[in-house]
Amino acid sequence: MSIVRFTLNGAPVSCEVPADALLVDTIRSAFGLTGTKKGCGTGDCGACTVLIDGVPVRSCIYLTCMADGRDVVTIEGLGGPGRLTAVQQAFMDAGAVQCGYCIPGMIMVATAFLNRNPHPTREQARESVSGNLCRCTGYQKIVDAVMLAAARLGEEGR
Amino acid sequence: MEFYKPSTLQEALKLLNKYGENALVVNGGTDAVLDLTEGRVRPEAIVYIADLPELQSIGCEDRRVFLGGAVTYSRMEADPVLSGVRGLMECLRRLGSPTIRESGTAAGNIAKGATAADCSTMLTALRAEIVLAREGGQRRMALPDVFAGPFRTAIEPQELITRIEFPLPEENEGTGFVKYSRRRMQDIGKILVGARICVQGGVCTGGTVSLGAVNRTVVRSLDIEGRIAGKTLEEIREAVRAARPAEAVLRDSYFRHYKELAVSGAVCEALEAAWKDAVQKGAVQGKEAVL
Ligand SMILES: Cc1cc2nc3c(=O)[nH]c(=O)nc-3n(C[C@H](O)[C@H](O)[C@H](O)COP(=O)(O)OP(=O)(O)OC[C@H]3O[C@@H](n4cnc5c(N)ncnc54)[C@H](O)[C@@H]3O)c2cc1C
Repeated sequence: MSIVRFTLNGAPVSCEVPADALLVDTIRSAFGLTGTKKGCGTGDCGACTVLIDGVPVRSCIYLTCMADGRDVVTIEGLGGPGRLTAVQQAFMDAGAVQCGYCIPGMIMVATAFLNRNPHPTREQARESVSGNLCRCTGYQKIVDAVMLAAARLGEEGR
Repeated sequence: MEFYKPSTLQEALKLLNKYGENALVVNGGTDAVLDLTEGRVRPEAIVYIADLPELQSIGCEDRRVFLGGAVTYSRMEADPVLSGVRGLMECLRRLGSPTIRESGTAAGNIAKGATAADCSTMLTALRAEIVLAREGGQRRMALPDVFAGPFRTAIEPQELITRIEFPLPEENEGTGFVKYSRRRMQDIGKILVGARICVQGGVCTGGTVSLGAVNRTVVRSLDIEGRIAGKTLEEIREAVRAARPAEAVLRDSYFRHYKELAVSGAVCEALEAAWKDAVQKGAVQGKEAVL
């Protein structure tokens, strides 16, 4: 067992886990943050995406021990009811959510993408979510949501 | 099972020396963690190297490009020198997804030893060498000699790839990369081709061509290299289409027939891309010379 210390959604946390524990399982079981979904478990679908030091990472192919000393943000760390981020609000307003399972991962990826690339083209926005699978196949509205968030963030910035 | 995060290269090599075959090196983890989860490996020690300071450099010295053993694809994509190596940029653009490229490394791609490895294929065409360090020594090895079989390499359990190097393409050299896959993004390649050719006076004076996913490992195609030397682009197209590359040795699979039919076309496309790159670079340089 290893003791791992990191920042989770802004708060310092620690846990004791086996060396091969996956971050997605630790986040969901040890910390009860079930917004992060475990989809394929093989790194393909992107539902488990979290931000580590600001960078999107698939937490189902990431060991909890690898997070030691790092800054981890899950969907719960972005915003909740009444204090949604622009990206979260845009996903609702654009009708991007169907069954919802892929959405936390989509929002994490979109958030990191817009932080770095605030004025994307539609093609760039499509590429940013290209590794995240939506089985409802609502991709158009998901890309609409990323573009809507970009436009709103742009207005705020001005 | 113990998890180690050594803070220096020396410490890491010491651990690898101690645990040998019972150690699992984890870099970006995009292959290794799945190997662990799915029980393909059962190490006593996990040695996490992604943050080792000695493996982070990226740059160019005396026209030789070097990449540290923990440099991620997204850092490569953002590098100003590498951005001039068109084939490599195309390879990275098609590799995995943006999220996979944030964690995945070229060293991990090589050390995994897969045949459908995009970056290993392109680096083979670029005539890359790797530096392998172990406690008390190091050695160099060229691609594709490091690839020993499906998911097997000549890298010893005590060794780490600390550096990848390749000669920066000259002004009259162009590079190209082609990946045929079922989906455009985040899919394993069915046919991969890397090309680096020199174009002078309207003919190809020589080059390196590599193939992925059409043999047991990533290979260099000496057959195609021999066919293209001394030829114009039109002659190259004809020579390549005349027969499948000798190194495309396809095993029985659902995709065999498709690959047999498509591989020459993919080689042609990669060579065309490399040719175009060489001519454009030459033209830009020519213009500067006039100005
Ligand atoms: C969803 C998804 C999509 C993918 N798409 C592609 C794709 O399109 N094309 C492609 O080629 N690959 C793809 N991959 C595979 C993988 O991302 C790449 O092979 C990547 O380059 C591996 O790098 P890594 O740093 O994550 O390696 P790790 O997973 O950390 O390690 C891989 C192997 O190399 C060893 N190793 C790593 N670094 C070193 C080192 N410095 N010295 C010695 N040994 C080392 C490890 O022990 C392990 O055996 C994909 C993977 C996933 C999960």
